[in-house]
Amino acid sequence: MRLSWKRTWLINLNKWFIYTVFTLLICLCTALLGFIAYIGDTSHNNDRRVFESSVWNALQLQVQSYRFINYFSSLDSSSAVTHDDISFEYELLMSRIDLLRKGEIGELIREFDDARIIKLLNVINGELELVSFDIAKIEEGDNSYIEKLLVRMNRIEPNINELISLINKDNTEYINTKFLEHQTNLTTIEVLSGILATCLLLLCFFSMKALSELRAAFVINKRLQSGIETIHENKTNMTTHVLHEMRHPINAILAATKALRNKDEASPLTKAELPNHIEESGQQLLNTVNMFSDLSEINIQKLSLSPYLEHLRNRVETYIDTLEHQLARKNLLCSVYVDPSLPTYVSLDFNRVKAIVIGLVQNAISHTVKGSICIQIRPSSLTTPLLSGPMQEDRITRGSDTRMLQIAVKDTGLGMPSQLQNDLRTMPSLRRKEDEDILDKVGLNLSLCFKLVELMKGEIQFTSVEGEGSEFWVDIPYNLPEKQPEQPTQLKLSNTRALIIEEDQQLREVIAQQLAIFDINTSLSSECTGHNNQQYDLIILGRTDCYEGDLLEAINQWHTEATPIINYQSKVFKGIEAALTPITFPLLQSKLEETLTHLFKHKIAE
Amino acid sequence: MRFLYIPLALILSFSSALYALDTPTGRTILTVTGAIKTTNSDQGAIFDMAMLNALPRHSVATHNLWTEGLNTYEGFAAADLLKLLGNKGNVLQVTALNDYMTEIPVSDFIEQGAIFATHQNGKRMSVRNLGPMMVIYPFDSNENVRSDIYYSRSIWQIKHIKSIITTE
Repeated sequence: MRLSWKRTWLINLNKWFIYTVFTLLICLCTALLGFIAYIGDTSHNNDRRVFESSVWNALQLQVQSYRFINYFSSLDSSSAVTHDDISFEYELLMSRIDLLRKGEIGELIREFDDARIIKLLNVINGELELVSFDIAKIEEGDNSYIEKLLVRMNRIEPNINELISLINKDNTEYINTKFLEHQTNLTTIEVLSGILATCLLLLCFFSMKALSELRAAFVINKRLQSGIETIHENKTNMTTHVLHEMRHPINAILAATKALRNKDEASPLTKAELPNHIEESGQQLLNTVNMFSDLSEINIQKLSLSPYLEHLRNRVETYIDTLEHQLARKNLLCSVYVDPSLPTYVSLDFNRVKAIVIGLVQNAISHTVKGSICIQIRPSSLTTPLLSGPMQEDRITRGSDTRMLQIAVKDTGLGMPSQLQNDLRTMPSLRRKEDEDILDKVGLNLSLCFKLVELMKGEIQFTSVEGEGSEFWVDIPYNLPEKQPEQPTQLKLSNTRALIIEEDQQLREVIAQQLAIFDINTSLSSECTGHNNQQYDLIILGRTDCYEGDLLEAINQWHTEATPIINYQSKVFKGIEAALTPITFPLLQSKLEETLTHLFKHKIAE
Repeated sequence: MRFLYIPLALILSFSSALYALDTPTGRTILTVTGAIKTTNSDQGAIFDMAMLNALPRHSVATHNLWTEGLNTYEGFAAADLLKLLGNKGNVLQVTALNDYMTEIPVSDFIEQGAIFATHQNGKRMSVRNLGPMMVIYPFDSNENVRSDIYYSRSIWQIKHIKSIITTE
């Protein structure tokens, strides 16, 4: 969330930065173009041209005045001059004065040196106008005026020289000013061009970055699109699974309800069982709904763990007890063993533990036709929980009060095909939330288990032999309370020897483990014969292939020896029922403790 | 047979019109020398104002640097003058009364619309008014000629034109 906020902030910053650079770029371009247009204005060139023309015409005035003087100096008193020749020379000279006084050159000269030049020009013009009187006299044939004319022209000469020097000085100043202006303009253009180039570089940089982000966005978009398609596909699959999982309990409820209403005599269930059946199906339905809900919440990362302190064994036994009818329907025997080395009270999210336990056992029930399902809760060989997901990832150390326990569910079922086992082992993403087709592979129960175990930072492993059965074991972390609540003293039946007759090896071993909690030494056997020379304080009679006669003989002998017999044989032994203490499955420790307390009350009293 | 003289006479009269140049009766205004075929004196082809005025007239109305306001200049086209003189040159060296000289490509008078002006606003241009002849470009209507090159070619008080052939 924080990262996302930071990214949004950066994107906004980039966006505004690009806008600023764009605006700056446009402003700079406008400024640069405007400036270039200003300095490139032809009027400036015109000014320069006028200045140059003024200097040229002033010099031409001087040259022409010398020519004018030379012309009249070459004349003597006897020279005959024509009107046209004199007028020509005079007009030539005056045309230079006119060029300096009129037009744009005249306008420029008027502003020079506080009008000093125009005043000087007027003086020269006035003097030359006076020359015209001398010319008129010369034209009339009076050559004596030639001398006067030359004197007058010599008097004008210093003025013309001053005029030239003034115009030249102003022109030099103008050139100097223009040079400085051009230098300044050049510097300004250089600075503007530099900024423009920088802006362009920045723009290129941000454009490249934007392109790169766009490309990344396209990739993300494509991935998201693919994700959406997968989600739609998963949604359809999920609906199919929901229907599949819910159809059975709903049908069961409907059938039971119909049977109740019709009082159907042909129904295999008695009227007393029907409400239980409905309740069980309802419960199963509720469990299924909860499982789907949990699965969905895990997938959207909304499911959080809420650990709380509880009696571990009691909780687990309660969960298994709810499955009694399902087990009974398939005639499956189930026993629960909780290792006494585990703390009595532990802090766990028991709602999730319940889902895991029920999920694993229901999965076992589904895949077991006959035999038993054994649940063992024991300390884990792992010491710390996973950081997340796959087993290969690093573990974390949460503190001294965090430990691991193992929930193992072993069945004598069909086992998993080797292909499915390979798939499960070679797909590390199986436990990943993205991989939704896990439902197709292993069904709802195991899917939820995988997800929950991952959520709890635990591990799930399995072993399976096709046709012989499977074992799933889950390692999950738990926290110890600072202080364990007070507990009643554990029943101890030291020096008690028990014989367990059970053809199912895994079941008899788990029952032995259960009895070991009460300090009872056990002998295990699948046969009812061959135990005559042994002295036992307790017989647990389970499923066996013994001949009925042998079995009756053995029972009678144990009964004669007053050895208590706990029986869960389905056979009916007429006449000796009193010798047998029945026990129901699932075989829970609490139930076994109660039975043992009843059977050995005299020994406990001692 | 007598009829054969008529076309011959026409050809002769045409060729004489092509090469014949009058002798000026008034003050010589312009002398043209150089790569021309037709002359009317030892100095080359000389013209008085009447001869120049006899050439086809052209006018240009424009502002310029040297006079105030809009002025209408009237004169003759260089093409007409040079055609009359059987010109071979491609550049004209034009000299003013003060001996200032500039070179003007003949193409300027064709492509840029320049003329040799003899009259300003209907009046003959005096020497004082930059006459008797001046090269004027249409500065107002043709922005191509608003540059130093053409301003420097706008020579006034013209007295002499020399036609030359340049290789460029």
